[in-house]
Amino acid sequence: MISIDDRLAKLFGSIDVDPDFDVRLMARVRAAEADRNAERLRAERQRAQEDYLVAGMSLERWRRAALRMLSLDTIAAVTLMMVLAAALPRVLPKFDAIGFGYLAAGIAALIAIVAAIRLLYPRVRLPGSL
Amino acid sequence: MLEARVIELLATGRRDEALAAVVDAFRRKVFGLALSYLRDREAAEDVAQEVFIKVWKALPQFDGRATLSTWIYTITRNTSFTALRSRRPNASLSDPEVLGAVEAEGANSAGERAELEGEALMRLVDQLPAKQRQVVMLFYMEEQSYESVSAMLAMPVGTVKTLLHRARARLQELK
Repeated sequence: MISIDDRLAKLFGSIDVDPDFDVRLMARVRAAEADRNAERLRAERQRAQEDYLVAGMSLERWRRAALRMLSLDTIAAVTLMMVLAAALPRVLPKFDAIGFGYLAAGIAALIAIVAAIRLLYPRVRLPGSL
Repeated sequence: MLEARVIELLATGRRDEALAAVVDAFRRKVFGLALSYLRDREAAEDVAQEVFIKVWKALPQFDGRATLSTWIYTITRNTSFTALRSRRPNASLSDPEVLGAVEAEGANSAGERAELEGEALMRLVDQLPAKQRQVVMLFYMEEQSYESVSAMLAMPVGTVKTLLHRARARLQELK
């Protein structure tokens, strides 16, 4: 008479996985690895795209700021020129047209230099800038 | 010791070999534990594979502070619970699939009558309460080690002994 212990041991003792378990497992591991690599690549690509967008937005911000400063500086300089043009003949009656031309050219050159400095060094605060 | 061997293999970048060592040591235990919850051979194999894939993914973080067995059994129990929630509710150890597998594995040494007895015994085991059924199955799969079953089911050895005693008594009654 076989005891219940022996019968249970016989019944459950031989239970095991299918013989191809390891082969299937390694195939799944390889697939999981490929998924992981693809996911990592996708994440890296997305990060690069985000960095590019951030850089683009930053450049656009800088461009707008530069244009705004340039416009404001130009308006200020033009106003100054108009004031000078109106005031100089009265202050200096003998100041002739050629002299005035040199003065205008000098001021125009100054405006161009200020604008160039503004574009090249946007963080520099020039005296009198708005 | 397996933990030391796994850490050594991981340190030298041989992750696949580390996994192979873990699979060799735990293949049958993980499958048995999953089968004790799911009572479906195919689903249990699937869970066992999922467990080893999770282990493979987490191996680089393994530092040997926890024992591999505790870690793997916890993953197996959690994965089995997840699988249980998403599968058909009325699976049973005496399902044709499970019985077929047991019969096929026992066919070499047992005759037709023994197979029928095995089938009948499996049906009796299937009638036991869940915890008793699990303990019986794992105890006889695990070469009758109380400690091993206790670690697999995360329950005290005393509880394992009590459940097993009750299960045996119930099986005698049912016989």
